Amino acid sequence: MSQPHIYEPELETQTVPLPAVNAHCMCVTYGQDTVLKDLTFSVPSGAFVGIVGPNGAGKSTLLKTLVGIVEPTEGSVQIYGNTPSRSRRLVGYVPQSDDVNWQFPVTVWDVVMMGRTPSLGAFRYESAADKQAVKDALHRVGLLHRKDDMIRSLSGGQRQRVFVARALAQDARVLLLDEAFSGVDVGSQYELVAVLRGLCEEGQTILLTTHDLANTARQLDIVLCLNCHLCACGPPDEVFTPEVLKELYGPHVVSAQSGYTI
Amino acid sequence: MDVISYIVEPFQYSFLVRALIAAVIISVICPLVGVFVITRGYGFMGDAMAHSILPGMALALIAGLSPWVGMLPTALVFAFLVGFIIRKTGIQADAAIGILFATLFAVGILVMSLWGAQVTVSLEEILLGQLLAVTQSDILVTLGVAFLTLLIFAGYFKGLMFVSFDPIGAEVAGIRVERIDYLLLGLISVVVVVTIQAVGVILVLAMLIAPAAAATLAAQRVLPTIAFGIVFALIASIIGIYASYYWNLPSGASIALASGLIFAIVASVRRRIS
Repeated sequence: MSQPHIYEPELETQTVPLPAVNAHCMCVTYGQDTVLKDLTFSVPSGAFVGIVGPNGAGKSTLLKTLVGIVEPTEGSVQIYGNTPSRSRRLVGYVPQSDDVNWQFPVTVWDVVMMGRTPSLGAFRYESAADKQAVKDALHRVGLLHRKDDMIRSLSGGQRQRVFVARALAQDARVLLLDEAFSGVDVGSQYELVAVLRGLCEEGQTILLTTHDLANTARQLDIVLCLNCHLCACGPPDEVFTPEVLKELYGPHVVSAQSGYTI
Repeated sequence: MDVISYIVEPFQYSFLVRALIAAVIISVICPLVGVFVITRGYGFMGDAMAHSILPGMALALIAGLSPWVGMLPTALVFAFLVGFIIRKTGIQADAAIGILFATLFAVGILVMSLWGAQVTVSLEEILLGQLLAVTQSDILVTLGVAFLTLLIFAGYFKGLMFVSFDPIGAEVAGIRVERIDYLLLGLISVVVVVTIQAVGVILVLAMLIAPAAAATLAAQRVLPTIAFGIVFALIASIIGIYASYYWNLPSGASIALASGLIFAIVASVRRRIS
């Protein structure tokens, strides 16, 4: 009897890790429109998760809810056991390319340093620790050698990696990427996925929205199929069934999509 | 006449010394705000704001007060309304600015035509700028605005950079984007108002936009861009003041012309390099 029976419950509560993201019966409505309906899902720490669905399916709204900009109208969502607005520091966000002002004169280093800005506050300037965090983050995405280049001189995939580095510099544990692969060529997509996969292995949890069911979605651990409600959730091989695809994109896509599954 | 006396001669007149001091202060604050104005696409804003302060300016003059008293609040109201209309209706910034530009300028013209017969001369002076007639109290107001601008920039520079580059990312990171945007709009208004005093309503853009635009061609990061902008604005101001002294030209127009020429030179040099 090496393990007395009495310790078991306590051991169990300690070893079950908190899920990175936990949504329970979550609804979001804008006025009369229900954008997200009754979402219940859980994302374990370190998972590489894709959110797929047609335009207007609520993918961006789901991300906005996870970062705390949008509050659920019903139900709840938690990031490591806390509401999103209380765990802002834990969540790093990579914006859609269209939302960024590329004309603004900043270098790669400046952009990653922005990850440290919220913790700096007014009249505070970066410390040696901040600089080290930026350096480490750039190293992890393999772009330290480009630190002095203008952000606008980088390719689409490299820009995404700079934003990932910004989230890492922020000490985020959950990374959200909105339309991560739009405007990124196929070669750079593989590079970006490899970097993200590596981060997941180091314990980061990554959620990204994508339209690319053929390539990217199949390299993910979990896929959330979203069309206002959650159509399916699980490993790509299990969820990409003709029924689910039909529910997501309508009957026409199923025949085209089946080509990819072979 | 040797070179030194040629350089020093204008400054035996105290009004030219005051003009130089005012021009130097304006040359520092305009590019500081201007770099954000042009990279945020607010270029049209400075010009529109300069025209939109007409009702406030006219009312102040009619009431026998210093034009500052009317200009500053009107510019702030303009800036606030631009931000408010964009946020509430979702229309493009230039459309919101255009609407306010036309409406407020029209109000100004109406005010003048109804009650302003006796202030026409003064208004004309303000439209064309009166750098050479700057008073000591004007310099103090300008200095106060410059100090405030520098202080706010020192405090919010990081946040301002984040918001200007990536507003959604900034909001997610917990930065108060709305507050910083209104702060920037407020700063643009006060800087425009003090610049009007020096180079006039029509030529505000010459100080706010041209040096900063030339600087974005010359430098890559925000701080060096601002530094280049300040250098270009100073050169333009000094050339303008000398030209106005030796050739008896209007000071505002001379500065604006120098500023435009500097932009042309920087743009062509850069084109040759790249």
